[in-house]
Amino acid sequence: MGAFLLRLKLLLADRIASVCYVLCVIVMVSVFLNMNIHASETSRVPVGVVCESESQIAQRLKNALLESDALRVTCGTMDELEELLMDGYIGSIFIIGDEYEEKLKNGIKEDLIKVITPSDDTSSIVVQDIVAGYMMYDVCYYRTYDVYSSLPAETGREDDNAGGVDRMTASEYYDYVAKLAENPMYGFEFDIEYIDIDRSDNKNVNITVAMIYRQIIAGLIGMLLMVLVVCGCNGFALEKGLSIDKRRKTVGRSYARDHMLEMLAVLVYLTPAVLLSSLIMLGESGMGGASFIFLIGEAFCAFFILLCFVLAKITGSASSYQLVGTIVCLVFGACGFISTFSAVTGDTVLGGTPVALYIKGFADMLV
Amino acid sequence: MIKKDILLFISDAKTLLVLAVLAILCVTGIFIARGASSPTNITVGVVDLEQSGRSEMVKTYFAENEDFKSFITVTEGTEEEIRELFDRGGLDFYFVIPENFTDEMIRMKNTPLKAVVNSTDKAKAAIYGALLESYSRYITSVEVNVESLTFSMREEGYDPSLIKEKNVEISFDLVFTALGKDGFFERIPYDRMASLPLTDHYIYSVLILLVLYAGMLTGYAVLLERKSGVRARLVSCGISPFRQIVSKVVVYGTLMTAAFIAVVSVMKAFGNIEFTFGAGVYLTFMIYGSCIIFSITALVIRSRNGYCFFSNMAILLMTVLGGGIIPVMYLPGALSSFAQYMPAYRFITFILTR
Repeated sequence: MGAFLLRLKLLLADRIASVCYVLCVIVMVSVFLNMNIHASETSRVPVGVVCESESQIAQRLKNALLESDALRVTCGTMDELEELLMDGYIGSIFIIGDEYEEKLKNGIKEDLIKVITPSDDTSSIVVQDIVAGYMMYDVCYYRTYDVYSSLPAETGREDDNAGGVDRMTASEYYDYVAKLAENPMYGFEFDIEYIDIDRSDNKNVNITVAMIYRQIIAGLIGMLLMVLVVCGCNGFALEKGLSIDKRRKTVGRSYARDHMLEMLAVLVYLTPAVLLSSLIMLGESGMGGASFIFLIGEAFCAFFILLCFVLAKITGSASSYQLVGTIVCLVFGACGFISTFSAVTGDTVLGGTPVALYIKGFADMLV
Repeated sequence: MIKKDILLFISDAKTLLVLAVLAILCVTGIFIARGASSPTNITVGVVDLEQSGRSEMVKTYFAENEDFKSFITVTEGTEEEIRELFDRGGLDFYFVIPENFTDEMIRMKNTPLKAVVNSTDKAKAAIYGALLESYSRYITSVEVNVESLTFSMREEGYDPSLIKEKNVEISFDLVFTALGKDGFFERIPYDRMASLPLTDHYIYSVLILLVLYAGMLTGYAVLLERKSGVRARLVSCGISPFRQIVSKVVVYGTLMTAAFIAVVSVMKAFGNIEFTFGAGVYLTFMIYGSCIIFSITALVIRSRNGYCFFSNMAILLMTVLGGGIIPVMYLPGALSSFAQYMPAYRFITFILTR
């Protein structure tokens, strides 16, 4: 146990390093916690809406977009929203023009709304699909009303009373459709069943878009742990540079056992950070999930401590070790994020890399 | 002083080797990322238990629509065949259109359309879930309006044959209106700003991350000189600490800038990355700025471990808050207000602005 205690004492005795460690972990965990608390809101797609029309239909569309679960809408003037677009705070601007209602009433279904996007942008097409969902009701209503208003005055039935039917006015017809739309039998919904084909027990879980956001937070936590491990193992590289290893051998210390205990000491030193990071999503994962996240966090750190130990021994100098450690963090971190995003856009690549596995383990606990 | 620092830099073979590996990794990473970003087809299965003219009509539309075919592959089969394909991982999701689906819809019996989504990948499943939710809004709109017309005609006593005729007419019209939803929008490209594909966003973020690490390396060199007593000895020879730091910043800044320009040139030539002269100048200023800031940090934090903890965390934090990992628009309001002070945000905004 001597080697374990010695390493732990060495780590804790460096007061500046310990203060930096505690401060950094607190700041980073606070940032991640903030991101997680707002995950549902911030995972919505940010768009700007300029409503130039005062008509009831245009205002209704604006309000529906403001209440949308999929969009985060900022309303404002063109100049204000242009500035937000330039600063990267929104991805596109939808302009509901003065003539919106008029076009609908005339049965026009092309170019109803202007969309301003950065040039060559294709991602806003998905946003258009969402906005179209909110426009669809009114577009369909006016097209149907057009057919209704052009119906013959005579019903055409043999038992028809002479004089024709008592036709509804546009507003009466609108109320008639609205009343029907309120009927719960008309709310069409897909019966969505989620099946994890790799895990038969993981059926019909609750999956939302916020899940993607939380996977990115999990990747960031993974990167934080990696960076902490690289810093925590700095001592191995410093000692190698100062030839302390060789001196140890001359006094006959058990090389493998001592190093195992030292690595265990680094793991214990980093455990408070792992514990804090596993509690970030306690609300989503529950106590059992958080415990599992803590365990995979410990396993993840143990793997990286072993890797950093080997790197420290190979590089032999503290500055080279820092550089190599940084590269390892960057490469594995990038692989994790590429794996997550490649899954969204196509086939998963680099899914077997450590950060990608950590993200997957984390995500499994959130559903 | 400058000559001494150049000699020190180039005599550290290990660090140079690591930097070379880093440069190669950077260039290789770009090609991997470019390969990973090309989207593959979404594979969808359809089990049509209805087999009616209307379900055929919709399937034919999708089968013949070029835009749709370019990113979605539809496979039709029996429930057993489709389920088997799904279980083998051959489908992202599949629909089951129940028997008499359309007729029951007309009779106000909303038989749910079953959609089975492969949730092995949670992110992908979340996207499909959101997409299906949006499509259900289209269907509801069409359904409510078609039925309103039918009911109102019935209530007003129209002939059943006319009701049926109008029902078919409006059904076709509204279904194709919903399918042609892209036409609702007039797209106007904003010329003052370019769009940035996700892969390019990360390439620029990594570039800024490396700029920050270049600064950290400079600071580390300052710290090492101080720890080993070299600084004190130079002061005793009449070289002020200010001159020592300026020399370090000039040498490390210049050599790092040269290395960055080499890497960026390769990226531009073979990776098709847009990189203007103005961006190069901007990057150079950032490298020197980063070297100055981290050299000052090294003067304040005297412990090597402490410096490593602080610098690494500061870099990670600056990257996150600057939208390097999650674009700024997706950061919570409180965090995104810090973005404008972060190098990653500044650089990406500079690249995008025309």
